[in-house]
Amino acid sequence: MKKTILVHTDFSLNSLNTVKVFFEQYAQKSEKYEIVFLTGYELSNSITELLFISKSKIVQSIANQEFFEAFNIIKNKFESQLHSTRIEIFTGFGQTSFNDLMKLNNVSQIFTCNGLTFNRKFNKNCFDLTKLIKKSGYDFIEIETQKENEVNYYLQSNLSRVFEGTPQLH
Amino acid sequence: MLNRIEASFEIQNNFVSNASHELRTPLTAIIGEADVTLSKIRTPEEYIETISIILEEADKLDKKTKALLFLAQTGFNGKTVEFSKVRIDQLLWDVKEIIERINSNSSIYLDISLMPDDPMKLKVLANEQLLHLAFTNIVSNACKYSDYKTVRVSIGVSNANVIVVINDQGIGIPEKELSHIYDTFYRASNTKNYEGYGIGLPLTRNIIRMHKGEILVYSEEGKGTTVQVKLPAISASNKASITF
Repeated sequence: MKKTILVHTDFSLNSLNTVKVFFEQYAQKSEKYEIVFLTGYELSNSITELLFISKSKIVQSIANQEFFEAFNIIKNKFESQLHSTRIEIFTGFGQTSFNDLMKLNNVSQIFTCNGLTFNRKFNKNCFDLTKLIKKSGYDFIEIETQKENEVNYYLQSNLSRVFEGTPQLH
Repeated sequence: MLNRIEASFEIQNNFVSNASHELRTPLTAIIGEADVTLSKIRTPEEYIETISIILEEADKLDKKTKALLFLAQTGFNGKTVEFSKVRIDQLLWDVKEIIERINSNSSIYLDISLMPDDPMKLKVLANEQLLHLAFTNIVSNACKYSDYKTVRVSIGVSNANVIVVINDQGIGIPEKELSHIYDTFYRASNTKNYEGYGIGLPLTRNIIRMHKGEILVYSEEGKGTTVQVKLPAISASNKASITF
C-alpha cells in the first residue's frame, strides 16, 4: 500500500530539500511513498494560447534538466521507499478546487518549505499555494530551509545545492 | 572561428611564456648562488650552504618539469591509460586518509547522506591512480586555501552520473579570474600567502576529461569555493523517474 505525499514546490533546487528531509526524518522505512510535486500555475487568458497548451508542455517550461538530475540523486538514495513520482499543477482558484485535487490524489500528508520564491524567470507564472495548504484541513508540515541566495542563480550550476543540508539537520 | 584560433594562439603564447618564466626562476637562483660563491674563496660551511641551496632549487626545477611533462601526457595522449571499475566512495575515503596523514591539520568531512547504499551504483570506469590524483588535488586545494577549515566532500548518483561536490569556506576565487584558473601556472591574485605551482587544476581537468567527465568550479571571494565533478556512471539508466 503506497501513501501519497504532496510536496509543494517552486521547482528550485532549494525546494528539493523538502523531499530529502521527508525521507530522512518522517518516512517509515517499511512503507512505500508516492511523491507528488505540486505548484500553482496561472494559465493564460488567451483562448488561442489555451488551445495549444498541455500539462507536459507547462512542466517542461518550468522544471529544468538540473531539477530532474538533482531529484535523481535523491531518488537513488531513497529508492527502496519510493513508489513513484509525479508532477501536478494546480490551475484552479479557490479552496474547494484545491481540496478536490487533494481528494482526487488521495493525499496523506502535505509538505512545504518556507524558502519558496515564485518570481524567478523560470517560474514566473507559478503561484504560492501556502494559504490554500494551511486552510485545507489536511495534515501539513512546513520545513525550515535557507532562502536561496539570488546571486547563486547566476552561477554555472546549482546541482551542488542539493547536498546542502537544511539548518535543522546541523 | 577566428576568435577560437586567436584564443588558442593566446593560450599557447601565455603557456610558453608562463612555463619559461616558471622554469627560469629556480635556474636564476642556482646561477646567482653559484656565481656569488665562486667570486672569492669561502669557508667549507659557506660552500656547503651554497650547494644545499643549489640542490633545493634544482629539486624544485625537477618537480616542475615532471609536472609539466605529466600535464602534457594527460592532455594529449591517453592511449596507454588502463581503465577499470572503480568505486568512487572507496577512492574518496582513500584520498581523505592520505591528505589527513600528510597534513594533520586537514579536516575533511565525507558527506554520504545522499549516497545510495547499492555499491553497484557507485562504480565508474576509471584509471584509479589518475582519478586519485585528480581528487587529491581538488581536496588538498580546498584544505590549503581555507586555512584548514573543514572541507565537505559529498557524493551522489543521478541517472547518468556520479556526482562529487567539494565545498570549502576559504578565500575563494575573484570573479574576474575564474576563467583563468585552468591556465598552466596561473595563480589567482589572492594566493600570495599560499604555496603552489599553479599546475594542479589544469592537470585535474585533463584527467577528468580523460574520464569523459565534467568539472565545474564556482566561487565567491572571501566566502568559499565549490567544485563539482561529474563522472559517467557505469550503471547509467535511462528510466524516466518523474511522470507528468
